[in-house]
Amino acid sequence: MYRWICRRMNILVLAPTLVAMIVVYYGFVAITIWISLTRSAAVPNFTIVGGYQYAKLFNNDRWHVAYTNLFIFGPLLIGCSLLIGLVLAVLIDRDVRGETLFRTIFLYPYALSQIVTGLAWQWILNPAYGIEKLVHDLGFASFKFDWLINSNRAIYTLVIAGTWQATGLVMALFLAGLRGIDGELWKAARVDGIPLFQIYLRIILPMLRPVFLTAIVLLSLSVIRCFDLVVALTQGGPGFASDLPSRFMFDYTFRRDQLGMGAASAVVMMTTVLVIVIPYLYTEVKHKA
Amino acid sequence: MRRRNFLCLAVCVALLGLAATNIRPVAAAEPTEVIHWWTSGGESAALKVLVQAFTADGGIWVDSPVATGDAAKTVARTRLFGGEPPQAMMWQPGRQLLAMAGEGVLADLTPVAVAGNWDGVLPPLLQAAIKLDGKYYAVPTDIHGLNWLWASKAVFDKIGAPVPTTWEAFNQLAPKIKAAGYIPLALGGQAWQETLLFFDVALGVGGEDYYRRAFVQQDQAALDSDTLVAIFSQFKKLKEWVDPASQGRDWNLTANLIMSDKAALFIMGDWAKGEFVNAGKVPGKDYICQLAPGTADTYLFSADVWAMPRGKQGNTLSDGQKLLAEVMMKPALQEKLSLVKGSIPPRSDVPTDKFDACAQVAIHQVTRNQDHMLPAADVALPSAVVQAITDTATQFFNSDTTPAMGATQLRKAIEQAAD
Repeated sequence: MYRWICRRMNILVLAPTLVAMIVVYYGFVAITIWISLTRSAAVPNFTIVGGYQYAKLFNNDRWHVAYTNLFIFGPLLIGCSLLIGLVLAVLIDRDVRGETLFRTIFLYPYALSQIVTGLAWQWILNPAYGIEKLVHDLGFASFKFDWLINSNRAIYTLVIAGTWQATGLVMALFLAGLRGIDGELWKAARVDGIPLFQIYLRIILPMLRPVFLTAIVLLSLSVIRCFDLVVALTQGGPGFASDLPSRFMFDYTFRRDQLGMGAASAVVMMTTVLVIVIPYLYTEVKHKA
Repeated sequence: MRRRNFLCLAVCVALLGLAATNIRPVAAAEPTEVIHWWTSGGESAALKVLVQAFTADGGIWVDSPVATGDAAKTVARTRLFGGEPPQAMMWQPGRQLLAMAGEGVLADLTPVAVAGNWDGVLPPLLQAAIKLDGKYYAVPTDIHGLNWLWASKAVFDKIGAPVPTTWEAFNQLAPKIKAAGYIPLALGGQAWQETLLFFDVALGVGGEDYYRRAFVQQDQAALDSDTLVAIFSQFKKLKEWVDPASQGRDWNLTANLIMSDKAALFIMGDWAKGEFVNAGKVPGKDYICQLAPGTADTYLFSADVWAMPRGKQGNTLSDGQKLLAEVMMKPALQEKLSLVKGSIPPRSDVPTDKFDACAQVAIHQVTRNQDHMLPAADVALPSAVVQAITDTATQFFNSDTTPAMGATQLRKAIEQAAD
């Protein structure tokens, strides 16, 4: 008996997690897909009617706005965070004085909850008492920065606040990557007389490939999950111009008694993630092998 | 073996605890949990009146406030379907309440209603909104009107113009108000507030008959008519007169713009008066109240009602629920509550002499002008339709959509929601 347990220790230890994973994660994914195929309203109803909810979903203007916003918000947030995070990491890596101080300052926003970030930026961006007012008070009366209340621009305010928060994490990741690069490599590059910019672009960046992968995966997750930031910063407004799918899903499922449609939107969200992430992970893994 | 002993002790304590929760408390001293969304200044004053009266009669009030009606309803519904309902929950009268009653999750209050002669004292329109198949499913504590206009007396004194009684008059006056340095229209940029404004504009521009056909009976011919375009057109004109800080502002903070004489007009239900009362402001002296432009002959009513979910005891009311329903219908309580909340009492036999000028207008509309009362959207329409209208109204108000397109979108949204 004792030997039996010892031999299967690894499986036994993993079993509870595995069971929880299968039930809680895949089980509920399956239920969600099922519900999305029914006419469930306030209470679940398990009679399958086919693509009714999906037809309704794709006919819904608000869903179109929310779904399109995901493709504006996502790439911009990931792109901006990667770029700024990388530049900050490189600058800090150049042996600046007070490195610890800068590192803390840049990493600090990541420690804040998205609600706090959203509220703070809501005040900063509000034209009546934020940046616009400040510049007006400085004497530039024609200055205009009303993105928060402009329905064509509101989505970019989410990018600004989101980037502000996520950049620190990206910076920390890159900094760790840069520190892992062998000093000999720098010496060799110097001896060869390669310009600094070229060293980074041609040698260092390709070596940071795994860090890019980590950062992109982490950022993508935060994009898909992004909910509290929208709630705190714009409440999806003006109108529903800055809505994101996660907020749409929450609204329809929990506030509007339309479980079926909420489930359908959740399935579409998940499919989107799979479509984008799977090929990426596949090429990355292949690259390594 | 000390550990085994300890374990045994722990199990015994746990069992005792379980047993204790199974002992039924003595009759009326049963804790009564109530979910509600009365969280602003005027609302919490009203809540205090209610809790005091309930406690004085031997009830034990367990408070579960959730800010904003939407969120509170979500919590209540989740608890209801999760099998752990509160003893009472705040709701709005009408379609959505009756739909829940139809699902059999609410307790029948008819025994209390018969004993208290509710049929004899409540306005018929309100009765219809809380009764299903002749049975009562909610207790009303206060009637509210949605077509109210709140104006800053100081601002209108300064610009020397009367408070507009039509939207046309407002259109002409607004540039003057802005030129004088005030916000012409105070509005909180949240979907429900924009939608409330939309309905008031619809009533003001379209008139009572049109409103009844389009937004109560959902008559297709009314929705197809040009009146709807005219409503959207007027609604869009208001956007220009709203201040830039409007985005996401709560209604009570918006009411404060009138109290502090920063804005001229505010369109909001008469729960806004609770904030004025709470701040010690007097109608006619500090602020002006009148029915929203173009709606003086009618009253868009809603009410705060309290539904009692069925518990483990089946369809019979628990003692706490019965007591709460009785307390809520007491004339003295309804009078006191409405005085602080800005509403009017649902009972027709409550003395009206203590109520201010605004409430007198409301009482007149509800008692003597009853045939012209209209149910608010939340009362008259299924929730999916209300939400479709909300989405369209807020999106239209905040985008460059033309009025004709807005009308088309509204028709499409209503059609889809009804599906």
